[in-house]
Order: sequence, then structure tokens, then C-alpha cells
Amino acid sequence: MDSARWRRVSEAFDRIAEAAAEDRGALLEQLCGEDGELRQDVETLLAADARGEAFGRRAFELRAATAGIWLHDHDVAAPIDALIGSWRVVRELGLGGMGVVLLVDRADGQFEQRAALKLIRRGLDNEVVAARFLRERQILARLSHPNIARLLDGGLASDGRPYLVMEYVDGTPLLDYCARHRLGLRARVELGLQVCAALQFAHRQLIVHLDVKPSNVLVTEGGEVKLLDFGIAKLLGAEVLGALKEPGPAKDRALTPAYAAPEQLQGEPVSTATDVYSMGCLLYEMLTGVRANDLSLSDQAGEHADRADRERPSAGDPHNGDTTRAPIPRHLLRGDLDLILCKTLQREPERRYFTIEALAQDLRSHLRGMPIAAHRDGALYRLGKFVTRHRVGVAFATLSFGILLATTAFAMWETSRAREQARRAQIVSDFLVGIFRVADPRGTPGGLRLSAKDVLDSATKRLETELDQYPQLASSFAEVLGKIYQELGENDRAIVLLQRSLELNSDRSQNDAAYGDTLALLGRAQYEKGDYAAALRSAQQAIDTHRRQGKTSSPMIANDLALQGEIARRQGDFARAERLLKEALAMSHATLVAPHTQIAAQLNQLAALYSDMHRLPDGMMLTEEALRMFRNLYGENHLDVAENLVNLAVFRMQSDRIAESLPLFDEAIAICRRLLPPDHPMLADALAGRARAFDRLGRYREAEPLYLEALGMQRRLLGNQHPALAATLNNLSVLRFHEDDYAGTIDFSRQAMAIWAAQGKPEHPFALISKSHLAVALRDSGDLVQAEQVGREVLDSRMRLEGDNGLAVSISMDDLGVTLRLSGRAADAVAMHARAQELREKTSSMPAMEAAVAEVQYALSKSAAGDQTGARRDVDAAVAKLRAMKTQNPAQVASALIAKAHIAFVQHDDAAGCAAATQALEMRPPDDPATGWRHAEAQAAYAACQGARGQTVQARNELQSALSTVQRVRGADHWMTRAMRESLRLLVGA
Amino acid sequence: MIAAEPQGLGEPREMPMRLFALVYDELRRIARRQRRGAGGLATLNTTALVHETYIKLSPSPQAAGLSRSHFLALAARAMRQVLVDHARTRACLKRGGDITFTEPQEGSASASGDMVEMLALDQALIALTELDARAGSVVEWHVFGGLSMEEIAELQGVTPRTAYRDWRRARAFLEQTLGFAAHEQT
Repeated sequence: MDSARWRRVSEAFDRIAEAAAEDRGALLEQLCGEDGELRQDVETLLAADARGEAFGRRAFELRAATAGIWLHDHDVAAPIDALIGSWRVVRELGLGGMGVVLLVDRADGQFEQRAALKLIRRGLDNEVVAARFLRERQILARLSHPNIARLLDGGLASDGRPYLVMEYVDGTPLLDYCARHRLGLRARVELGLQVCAALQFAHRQLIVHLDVKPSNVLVTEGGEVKLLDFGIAKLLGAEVLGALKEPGPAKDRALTPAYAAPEQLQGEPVSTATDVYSMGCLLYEMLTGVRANDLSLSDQAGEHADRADRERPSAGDPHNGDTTRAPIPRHLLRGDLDLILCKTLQREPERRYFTIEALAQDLRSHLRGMPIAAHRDGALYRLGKFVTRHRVGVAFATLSFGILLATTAFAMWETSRAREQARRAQIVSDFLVGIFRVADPRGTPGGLRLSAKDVLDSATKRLETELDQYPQLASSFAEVLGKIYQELGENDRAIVLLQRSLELNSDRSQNDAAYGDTLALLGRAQYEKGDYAAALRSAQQAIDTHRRQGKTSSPMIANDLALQGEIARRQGDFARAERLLKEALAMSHATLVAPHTQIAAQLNQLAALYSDMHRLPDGMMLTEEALRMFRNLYGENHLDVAENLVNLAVFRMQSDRIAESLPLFDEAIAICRRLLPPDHPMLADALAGRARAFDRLGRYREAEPLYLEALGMQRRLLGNQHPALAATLNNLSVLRFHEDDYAGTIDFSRQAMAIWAAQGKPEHPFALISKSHLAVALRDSGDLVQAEQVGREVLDSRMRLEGDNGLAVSISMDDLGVTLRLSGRAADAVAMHARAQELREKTSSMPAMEAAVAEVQYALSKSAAGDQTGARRDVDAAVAKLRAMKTQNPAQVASALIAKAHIAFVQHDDAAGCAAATQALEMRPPDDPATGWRHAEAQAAYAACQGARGQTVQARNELQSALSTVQRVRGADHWMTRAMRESLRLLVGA
Repeated sequence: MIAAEPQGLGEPREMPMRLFALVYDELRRIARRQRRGAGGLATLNTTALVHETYIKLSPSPQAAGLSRSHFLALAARAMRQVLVDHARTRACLKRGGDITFTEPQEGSASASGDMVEMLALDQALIALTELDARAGSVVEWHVFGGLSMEEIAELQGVTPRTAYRDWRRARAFLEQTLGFAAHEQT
């Protein structure tokens, strides 16, 4: 190809490569036209481009490989005869990802011993690693098992690098051994069983390997397996996993991604299930001759090119027609071994064998020709589908469970005394093994269908029976289990367990920080359950306990204060809530480093309070800050991010940026559906929020199903008495009001009020909101007597709570004023509106539209009381304000116009009355005659206009028609019906 | 060594040969020192090496008037030369010599294969540079010098988007010629 031709090919390639897949064909056509050769060149290049990223990676890999060899060849690798600790270097054995391996002799003359010394490479030798290394190698030193290369010594070399000395094994790497001896199926499986035995032993000590791979398994000439590098990955910790995730050539990595489990590649919690996966990779390669995961195909974390996911091992390698690499005839793998390997190599830890023992058992059963457990379940694949369908729930539950394993056991080791260590470890181990046994598919009917929650339930039962001799341990476990139940939303069980944990601990450590933490957890669970009185007590006890530690400020105390603040907020005591939350936030800022989850969480709590207090700009600012912090900490796909998205959406809604809130809700709901079980309070919140947005946009039909879904979810999760339900019920009542369904409004408002009453808070601000909705719905349904009574109760409550100066008080006065006017008590109505207006002017925080609507009502009452001049002046001003608003609300403008027409006719200003009535009629076109009354109302105003013009016949007909509609829709005794009947009587009389 | 130098490197236009030799030597020296310090490990961060060479040599008179990016490009070429030279030596030894090497534990079987592939990559890169000098430079600087697309764009006086487009085209060309990724799938 010459450069002119290349230029043409390049130009076309550059454009097409950037185009979307579906546009490529047309673009190719357009750019190459008739030039078939050009087209072919471009197509070939595009085909290569599909592998471009893989090529890039390979190029980097080659660079690193060559560089490594260049270096290696230039110098002798190890300082022969050098002393490292009490070991003398004999020669280099090899190089691995973690560092150089040296053959050493013991140099302190105590006795002769040959060993392998692993010098951890630079970059992994920082202080954190070194400290953990020294602490935890003691645990590893206890791992004495014939199939495990023993850890003999370890320490820090003079240059600060950690080293480990292991039993020297004169053996052959597993795969080489298999190949050299041309081992058959049985012999290979038996070798695999020896590896299993080693892992099983370690797992019982709660030590995980995390780097099981063929080169870590040596086989002696006697056929004995030795597993190397036990627990080293764990020992080195996050740094190793971090290095694993970094892009770059494989040899720069400490671990080998080809054998790493998906959760390792994704930096998620690891457990014994991680080793089960790697064991599966090992068996797969031993039996098929190819790797289970070819990471060279897809190097990205988590993007395993899982052969095992695609096809059964016995199906062979589709990319490799020849079977020379297959050490075992494929047909021998069909059936049991297929199932065993597939089950071991499941992407989700909970779909794998629960223990190495279960895997080993199946392998042994297979060798003996017995049925395997993987069969007993009937259909692994059916199960697979079940789990896929319920992936979110299962994964969620298992994640928490993984934390139980990974942190509790080790944390407990750290805190317990050395003398008790071994004994305790055994107890913990047996206990956990017992839990596992329940979940072992072979143990119970239904087998694999047991979820992590079943395992937890079983653990809870065993807690009382098996750990009763060890109250400290039982207390710790009860706390952990309680915490997990709380995370799963099962507050009742959480409360029981946390209380049990406190009881078990009460005599020994009431002054412990840990005791305080448990109290705080209990308070949180009680709060989540809605039991605020108990929650407050627990939070106070937590503060007292934490303060007894001698500190007046600490992150823990801040946490307790925030809980109290949140409870105060939920109880409607906003002033106290603000004081507590601000104090908590200041303390967290002073004792923690941002970004921090606790700071972000407290920013949110304060923001929520400001939302309740209608301090929107303050709240929105805090929420955005919290969202930034959480994104910084967790990235996009995290529940805290979802929660903040919801909060921010709510603020936008409250600030009248409703359409902008919808995408936030959508994103939050998507995250929730990915990460949470199908029923979850947070998902319910997000759904309810989205519903509210539709509601505010007037898209009621889209809102209602979302509200109902949220409500159902809340009922299932929280029972029938939770305050969260009251909020949703309240919103449903508003929705029904917008749809003119007063009976529905009344029903939902009463349900919401009943919940608050059951909470002992009939005067909670939210309860009063529902109650005021009830009053308005009663009025519009025509029941003025009850409307007045309920309205007065609301007003009394609000005045008692907020004094004579609240916005809410002003609104209730206007509501009540309308009811009084409609009841024929115009003077009382005017007095009520006058007080409302006074308040409104004093607080000045009433939104402009609501204020104008209130003025219209005031004007109508003035007119009814005989003050036509004042009424006309006010209604003109209100109409002008409503018309001048940036976002006009046509419904409110039309109502104001009808009011104006009414007042103008009373004043005998027929021209103005007719103009207003005509406009109102235009704005209220004919509506559904079965439910609509608005057109009829406008029609009545227009009839008055016709009457004024002397067209009495038409006026009568119009009014008659309006009356019959209103009578049908709103009832014969409704105040609107009565008013129209009266107008008609006057007209006919005239 | 210089004879095998790829043609048509767009920038820097007037490559100071003496500086190149200096960089080449310095790369080897720093690498050796790193290796001794680490007590022998087979991994080498070539990107860091290139940057360290720059820090070391930038005050030298030969480097005067050369921007950081230009220097890094120069070092990238030196790195490429060092590695290709070594791959050639190593591939020859593997075929004829009887010297044995201790090799990294993982993937030892593929080490000599790697060397052969490195030589093939170099040849294909020469071919690419003949057709498309700018794309050739991008590969050299990115792969051997570890320069980012932003740095490359600055050096070429183009937008990062154009630099990436060049990289993508170059990748496709090389993959079409060499089929590394296609072979991997077998």
C-alpha cells in the first residue's frame, strides 16, 4: 500500500470507527462508493480495530516482558551469601509477582535447615503492610498440615522489605507434574482432593488463601501435594488487591487474575468462597488443559471471559479445534464433573459450593460413582436462573454475610488475649462451620435455595445454645447479627439481638466504647422501626457511655447526637433537631477527615431538617455537598449515592424545578433496583418521590401507580403503623384531591392521621397537614359542618404549637375563612382572613401564588360581608398578580376570574363582569360531564353576564344547565349547588 | 543500532544524536541501579524509568532547549531501541546458544515467544511509520515511553482526540499486520 492509498483508507477508517455500529454500513457505502478495493481495505482494518484494545494490552505486556528479561539478564538476581534475618542466601529459585524467591539455609547455627525465602518486592513494603505482616504471620505459623508448606519465619529485611520463610519443597508444579506423569482422570482428581484438604484445614482456622493457582501447588516425587504461599495475599492485604486492579502487564501484578475470583477482581469482600472459585479454576485446567478464564481476552476487572459460563467443560475449547492439549478425553468430563466445575466457577459467590468440603465431597462421590449434591438439587441451571432472577436480593444478603466472616473473626482475634486465642478460635470456627453446614446443599432439603438470610436465622438460633458458656463471644456475635438484620431491614430481629448483646455484656463493660456503639445501633434500629421514645433513651445511654470514656467530643458522640437530632426532627421538634444536628456535624468535622461517610450522612440529616423547615437553599447546598462526598467515596453505583439523588430531587421539586427532579429519581431507582431486594424502604422512598414529581406536574395518572407500589412495599416492610406510610398516604390523599375524588382524599387523610395517632403524635406537623387536607376535602365535598370543626382543630393545634406566627397557621385561617363564608358567616370569615393576611405579611415566606389565592378568597368574603369596594380592589390586585407570574397556573387564574366576575356583578360593573366571565368560560372548556364541575361554575358566571345584558332566557338556560351538572356531580345539598339554585331563583324572580 | 532506527519520526525534527546516546546509556544505568536496589525482581516500570531519565538528564547541555515532551519522546525511542536490541540478542541466543536463564515463574514458556513478538512489533511499527509517520510516533511514545494521549497531543500540536484517533488507527494497522489479539483467542 502506498501512502496516498493509506491516506484514503485512514480517512474513511477514522470516521467509520467513531460512528455508532448501526451507522457504519451507510457510512461505508457513502465513503467508499464504488471503490471495492478501498472498501475491502477499510473493512479489514475495522475488523482488526475490534481487537484493538486487546492488541494495545498485548503491546504493553510485551514491553514489560522484554523489560523484565532485559533487567534480569543484566545482573545477578540475588546477592548470594547475603544474610536476610537469620538466613543465608544459597541461590535464586525464581521470580514471582510478589518478589524474588531464594533458596536459603539457616545461618544461626541452631540446626541445619533449608528453606525458601520470599522477599516481598518493593512497593509492597510500606509501613501499613509491614505492621499487618508482623501481626498476622503468627496466625499463619499455626497452619500445620501435611499439604501446606509451613511458614517457618518471617520478618523485615534490613532494607525494610518484608520476607517470609517457608518450608522448602522439592517438587514439581502441579500442571507439569500431571503432564510429566501423564496422569489420568482419577489421579488428577485425587491430587485436587489433596489441595482441597489443605484449603479445608485452613478455612477451619478462618484463614483464606486467596491466591490458589497451579504454580502455588507443588507435587513431590512421592505424589504429595504442598500448597504454597498460604494467606500471603491476605497478609499483604489491600495493596495486593489494589495492584491487581491496576491496568498494565500481568507481570506487574502481585496476584494472577486468571485464577482470581470475580469478587477479587472487583475489590469486593472476599471469603472462603473466593478460594472455592480459584480451586475450580485449578481443577478446570488440570482436567481440560486450558484455563477457565483467559484474561488475555478481556483484561478488565470483572470482565472474565468465563469459559465456564459459556459452555460445559466437556464441550471443549471452541477456539481450538485440535484436542491435543486436552489431557483427559472430553467425554469423561461429561455429567458430574461438568456440573461440579460449573458450580465451583459461578460468578456469584453464593452460587458456588458453600465450602471446600462440599466440593471435595462431590469429587469423592464422583470417584466412587455415587450421586453428587450438585445433582440432588435437580437442576443447577434452574437454580442459576432463580438466582439470576433474584440476584439483587441474594447478592445483598451475601455481601453482609461476607463481612461477618472477613472482619468479625479477625477482629475478635485481635482483641482476645493470646492465651485464650487458640481456644476461642476453635469455638468461633466450629460455630461458623455449623452455620455453613446448614447452608450446605447436602444438609437440608431444598439445599441451595437456602439464602444467606436462612444462614443468619440459623446462626441466631445456635447463638443461645452453643455459645452460652462464652458470653463475650455470644455478645459480639449477637451484635454483628443484629447489625446485619438491621441492614436487611428486619428491625424487630435486630432489636432483639442487640438487646441480647447488651445483656450479655452488661456486667463487664458498661463503660466500654463498644457497649456504647451497641447502644447506638440499638437506638438506630428502634428509630428505624418508628419507636422514637425507646430510640431516644438508647441514644442518650449511648452518649452517656461514650462520655464516660473521658472525652467530650468524638465521632461516636457525634453519631449519637445526630441520632437524637433525627428523632427530634421526626417528632417535629425542629429547633431542638437543628441544634443537635449542627452540634453533631461540627463534632464530626472536628474529629474526622473529610470526605467521610459520617460527615456526609450528617450533612444529609441536617438537609432533611431544612427541607421540613422549608429552608430550601440551605438544604439543597448541604445535599449537593453530601452527594459530592459520597460520589468521591464510592463512585456512582452505591446506595448512599442513590439516597442523595433522591434527596436532591426532592429539593429541586420543592424549589419548583420539578421536571429537573425526574432524571434524578430515575437514576436513584435504577441503582436501588440493581442493589436492593425487590422490597426495600429506600426503593419505596424513591418510587414515592418520583410519584410526587408526576403529581406536581399534574401527571396524576403516572403518579398513582407509583404511590401504590411504594405503599404496598412500605406495608410489607414496615407494618401498618410506620410514619413513612403516613407520608405516602398523605400524598395519595392530595392526588385524589386533584382528581376531585373527595371521598378518596378523606379516606387517605384519615388513614395517615390514624398512623400518627397510633404513634402518640396526633399533632405532629405532618399529621396536621393530613388533617388540614381532610378539612378542605370535607368542605369541597359539601360537608361544611364537619369541615369547620376539623379546620378549627387544625388551627388550634397549630396555634398551640407554632404560636400566632406560623405560615401553616395562616393557611389554616384562610381555609377556615372559606368554610365560614360558605356557611353564611361572612363577618367571621372576613375576620379570619384578616388575621391570616396579617400573619402572611409578618412572615413573608408564603409562596406568591398561594398568597394571591388567599387574597382572592379574602376578597370573596369581603364581598359577601358587603364591602364591595375593598373586595373589588383586592380581587383586581390578585388577578393581576396571578397573571404576572412567570409560570402561570391557569386553574388558579380562572378561579380568580370567576371571583372577579362575581364581585363585579354585585357592584353592577357589568362590563368588567362580562369580560371576566367570558375569559373564565374560555379557560374552563367543557369537561367530563360525569365528574366535572369547573365548566359549570364558569358557565354560571357567564349566565350572570347574559342576565346583565338582558338576555334572560339564555341566562336561565345556561344556569339551568350548570345547576343540573353541579347537582349531579357534587350533590343536591352541596354549597355550590345551593348557591346556583339561589342565583336561578333570583333570575327567575327578576 | 542507529541504522535500525525507524524513519519519519515527525517530532522532534532535529534529533540530537548525542543526546540519544546519552539517554540510551542512562536508561540502562538507572535500570541497573533500580534492580540492585530492589534485590532482583523481574518487573520494571518502564514509564517511571523514562521519566527518571528525563529528570537525570534534563540539566545536561545536550538537553538544552528541548522541552520535556520532546525529551520524553526521545527517551521513548531510546527505550524502544534498548528493548528491541535485547529481544534480538535474546532470540538469537535462544536459537543457537546454550546459556540458560532463570525466568519468571509465571508464563516461562512464553518468554522466548515474547522476544520474537517484540521483534515483529518493531518491524510492523517501521512499516507503519513509513505510511503514517504521526501514527508511528504515537505508538512509540505511548507504548515505549508511556506518554499519555494528552502529552502526545501536545507534542504533535494536535488535539487529544486526534492523538487518540491516530492511536486507534495505528493499533488497527498493527493488529491487522501481526494478529496478536487474534492469536490470543486460540
